[in-house]
Amino acid sequence: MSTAAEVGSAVLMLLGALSCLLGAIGLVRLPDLPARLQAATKPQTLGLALVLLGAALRVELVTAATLMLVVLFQVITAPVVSQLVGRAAYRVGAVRGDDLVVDELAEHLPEDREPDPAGGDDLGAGAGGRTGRDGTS
Amino acid sequence: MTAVFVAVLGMLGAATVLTVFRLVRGPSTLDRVVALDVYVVLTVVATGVYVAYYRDGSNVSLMAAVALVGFVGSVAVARLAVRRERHR
Repeated sequence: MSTAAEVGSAVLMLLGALSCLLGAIGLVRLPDLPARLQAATKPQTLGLALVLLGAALRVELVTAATLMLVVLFQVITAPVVSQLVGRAAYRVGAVRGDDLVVDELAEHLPEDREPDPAGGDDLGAGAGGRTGRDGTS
Repeated sequence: MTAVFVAVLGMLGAATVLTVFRLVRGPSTLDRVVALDVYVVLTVVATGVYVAYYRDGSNVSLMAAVALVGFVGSVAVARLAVRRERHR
């Protein structure tokens, strides 16, 4: 293990932990759900990538490759969770409408938010959820 | 090098405390979903610090599994929360 790899690993891990800490501070300090969603996804993903990159410099190649796989997986899944939670927040009314400059989702949602039998709602989650809920209730 | 690991773990511990605060306090279910997702990521990061400190790769597959389960859980709870709150 060369000294340069040691120093690089230390710097990457410190930056990653700092990014995670800043994200957690934002999670507590920011006022509403969409803002917290920003603080929850981007700094956390960056922190995870930096810390695992720093760890990958200190282990053998197979372990490092698996660590990079974990980073890739997080980079793929974090936007999916963010998108689903944001859409869910909009549907339960947690997003204040007067803060929005453009509201493109409203054009795709039915006005009364009731299920229509023709399936005009293009949200796959909502449509599937309604069918399941109507079947059980 | 030990000081670096102490600093990293200190920052991660502070981040975990703040996240648990939001998890307990969070006004809505979706706030808790977000906080729980961050908590899972912090768990994976801390396991990565373990891997770096001991140069031991035996936990790496565990990290991938925890990240996967956290993703599935967040997606499931986000959908169920919508259904419950619209049902009221």
